Amino acid sequence: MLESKWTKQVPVYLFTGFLESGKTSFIIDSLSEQDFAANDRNLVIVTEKGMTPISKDKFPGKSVEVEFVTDKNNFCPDYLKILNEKYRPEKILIECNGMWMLDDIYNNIPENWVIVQEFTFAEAATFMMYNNNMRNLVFDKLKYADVVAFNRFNPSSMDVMDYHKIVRVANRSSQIVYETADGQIKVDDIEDPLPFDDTKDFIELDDRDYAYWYRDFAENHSKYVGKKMKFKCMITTQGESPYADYGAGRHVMTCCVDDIEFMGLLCQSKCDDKPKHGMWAMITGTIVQGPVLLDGSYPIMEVESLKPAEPPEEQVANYY
Amino acid sequence: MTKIDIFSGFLGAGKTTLIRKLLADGYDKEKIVLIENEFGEIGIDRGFLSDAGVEITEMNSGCICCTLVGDFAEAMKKVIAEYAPDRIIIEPSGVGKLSDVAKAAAGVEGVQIDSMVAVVDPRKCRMYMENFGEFYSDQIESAGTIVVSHGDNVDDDTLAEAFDIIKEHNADAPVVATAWDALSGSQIMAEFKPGKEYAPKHDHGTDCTCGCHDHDHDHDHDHHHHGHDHHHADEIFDSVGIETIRKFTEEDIAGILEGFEAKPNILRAKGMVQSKNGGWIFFDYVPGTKDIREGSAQTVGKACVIGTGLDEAEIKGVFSL
Repeated sequence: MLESKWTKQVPVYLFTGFLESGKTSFIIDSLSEQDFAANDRNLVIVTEKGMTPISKDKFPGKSVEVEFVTDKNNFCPDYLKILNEKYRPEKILIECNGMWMLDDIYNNIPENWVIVQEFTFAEAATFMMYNNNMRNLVFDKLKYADVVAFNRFNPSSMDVMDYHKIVRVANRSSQIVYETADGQIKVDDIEDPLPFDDTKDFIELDDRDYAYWYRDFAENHSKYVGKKMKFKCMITTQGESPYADYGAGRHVMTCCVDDIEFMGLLCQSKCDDKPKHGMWAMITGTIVQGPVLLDGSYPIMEVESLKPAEPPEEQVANYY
Repeated sequence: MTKIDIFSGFLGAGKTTLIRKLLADGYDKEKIVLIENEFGEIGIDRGFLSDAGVEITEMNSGCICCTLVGDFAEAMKKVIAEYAPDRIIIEPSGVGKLSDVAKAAAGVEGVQIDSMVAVVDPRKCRMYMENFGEFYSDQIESAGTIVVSHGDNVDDDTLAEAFDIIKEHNADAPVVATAWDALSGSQIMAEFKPGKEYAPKHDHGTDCTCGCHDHDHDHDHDHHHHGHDHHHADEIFDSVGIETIRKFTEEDIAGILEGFEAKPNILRAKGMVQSKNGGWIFFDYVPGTKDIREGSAQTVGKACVIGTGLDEAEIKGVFSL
């Protein structure tokens, strides 16, 4: 394993999206601004060869080096450490190949490289087609994006809501911007109300809202502690835990059939329930703080009632 | 036996537009089922298709992360059982490998792969080849025929670059390089073939359209005619055949043929090339006689020279870009 003497923490900016989405132009524009380039030693790593040429000559008077690593096999820790030592960068910009998964990036950068921001670009005109046909690749680029920018957005023929929804299923916190062909920028300020009232002390979920609820619960545990919940779920008795009697949850599909996962809660029985593995049931209980030994930050449910029920119409919960 | 035609190509390459053209003007009156595994920009016009008696089946999986192959063979079996079609046209996902789709299709009982087409957008060819993984090169390399799409105003240099990339990855497949509007559907379809692996054992295709080897059953557009068993008297002669997208004027051609007069080893030449004026130029040459005339649009420019001890590189240089 190669060792690099340059171990200073270096901020890394990722620019993701498919070919012709505007990544290179954005990188050139950003580095051309004095504020962003600053007096840092900047290193740009380009992992695909698009239509817009980029080289260090584009940045006269600034410290910007450009390296092409277009073969995925070369985007590996050993090689990146060589670049790290060669340039001793103070800031790194990586233009990511849209056909790679972002794990190919995350899992290969040296330890002293710290991802600070991720920008995703998309050409509005091809985005829907790409999303329909290469959903997993699109989803991957949206999942952790801090900013999602749609280029050449045409408000007269495109509906912001279509784009907004696709981004929001993947990621609820990214900022979304739409740029029209004439350079006008509109920031997405659409609010996404939850499909149930999360202010009540007793929340009864519609079958179809489970995915939305679970995601909100996962992101805001504390909001639900002390509340009573009632929803349809599948019971699992596999996996032993001294702190729970069984699990209750649903299979949830986020991107596509390949990422269907069981998402549920650990349950402690406080009633005369008869859980059977794989049974569908209507569960009622109160969300409480979990035992400290069981990572106390994760709440569990104290079950007050568990009644067998018919499976819901859509057995796999999704974001509709 | 159900014949299978597969149209691969990346998203936006023009697959649907091409299939539409061929269904309107190209395919015989057969019982055709179209299996789409892609959600493209342009929908296939259902009304038009049902008038033409074409059934459409959409495969409900547009996501490459989900296993396609098993589903796909199932969908085909179902289609065959339900409709007993003469032909199935498959428009697979643009990010799939053509060789995988062909393999899955060929594994179904009672089918025969008739055509494997790759539709290529010349403006994107280099960029996709450089940046996409194997699936893109696989589409071109596995194809029996490559059809170049012409969006708005593809310039000659772009077309030439794409043509070279295509030839580099697949020297054997005929390339339809001419804008589709200038060609009839049946003209395009005359070039269709399955990939090499699926080629019928005895290829008794139409005569090599460059016309120089009238007895050539090998239908080989490579520069030398290898791998065929017949030995003809004319094999003491060389023949150099090339495909070209270069455009000429009648004067250019007259000049080239004039040059041949100084080379007694050139015994015959003929060709069909695109004219700089937009039309096509046909020519025939035997020493002492030149015939240069206007002709109809062809799928790609072709020229063929017969003689003894020909300098292949020189002749190619004369007609290629």
